[in-house]
Amino acid sequence: MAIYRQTNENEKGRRMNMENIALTEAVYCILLALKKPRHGYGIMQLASELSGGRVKLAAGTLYGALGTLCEKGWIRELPVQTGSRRKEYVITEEGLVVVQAELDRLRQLVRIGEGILDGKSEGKE
Amino acid sequence: MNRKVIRKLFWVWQFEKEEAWLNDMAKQGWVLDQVGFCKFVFKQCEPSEYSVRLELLEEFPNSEKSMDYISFVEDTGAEYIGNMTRWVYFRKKTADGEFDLFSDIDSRIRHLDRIMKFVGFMAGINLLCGINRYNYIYWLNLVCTALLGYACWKTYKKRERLEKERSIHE
Repeated sequence: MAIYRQTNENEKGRRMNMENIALTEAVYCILLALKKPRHGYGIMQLASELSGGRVKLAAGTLYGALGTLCEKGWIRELPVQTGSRRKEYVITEEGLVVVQAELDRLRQLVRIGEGILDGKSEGKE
Repeated sequence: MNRKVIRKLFWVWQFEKEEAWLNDMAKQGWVLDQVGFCKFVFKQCEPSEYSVRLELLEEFPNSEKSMDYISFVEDTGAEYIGNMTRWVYFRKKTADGEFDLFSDIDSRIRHLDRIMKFVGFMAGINLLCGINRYNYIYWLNLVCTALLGYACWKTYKKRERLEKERSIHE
C-alpha cells in the first residue's frame, strides 16, 4: 500500500524530511476518518460520504493500508469488545501530527494553484 | 433453486477475464455459488443482483492472516463464496453498492506481483523436472515451463502498464 506519492528513502535508506512527502489520498482520508474510532466499513462509508462518492476505498486496498498504518504507528487497533467481532481503529498522536502536516501542505498547494491559475499573483510567472 | 455447472478453463493470467465472465453470468441471473478446479457452480438469482470479485491471496485461505482478511471483506457487506487453492471468490449484492477489492494502482500491482511469483514458482518447478533426465515426461514439463514463462511475461507487461500509470496518478 502506497503511503507516500514518491519513495521517501535516499540510497542509504535514511528517511528524508517528512515535511516534503505527500501522502496518498486514500491514506489522508483514512487518517481523517480515524479521528474517531471506526471499523473498516465505517471508514469506507465516511470517505465516500465526505468526498461525495469520489474517494472509494476498496476492501482489499483498505485492509492493506490499515496494516501498514498500524505498523507505522499512525493508527492503532482498539481492544476488541465482547459481542462485536469487528476490529476498530483510531488515529494516534503521531498520526495526528502527520495528517495536520498534510493539510498544511495541501493548503499551500491550493494557494500556489490559485495564485497562478486564477491570476492572483501576477508578477511572479 | 436452479443450479448450473459449467466446466471452463482459465489460465492463471486470465483472472481478469474470469472475473469478467463471472460478472457477465451474474448479469444474466446466475451467480457463482461454488468453485472447483475448472468447475463453476452457479445458482439462479435476479439478473444483475450480484457482482463477483476474485483475488489470489498471499497465503492459503485457512491461515490466520487470510481468515482475518476474508472476515474483513465480509464485514464490508460481501459474501465469501469459496476458494480454489489460494484464489478466493466473493460476491456482493449490487443493491449494497459498488464492489471492488482494489481501489488504487498499488494494490493492483501488488496483486500482479503475487500472481507472477506464483506462476514463476510453478515455471521453476517444471523447469527442474524438465531437465531431469530420469523424468519420462520431461517434455511435458518443458512445455509447461514455456507456457508458464509466457504467462509470467504477459503478467509482467500488465504490471509495466500499471507502473507507467502510477507515475502520473494513484
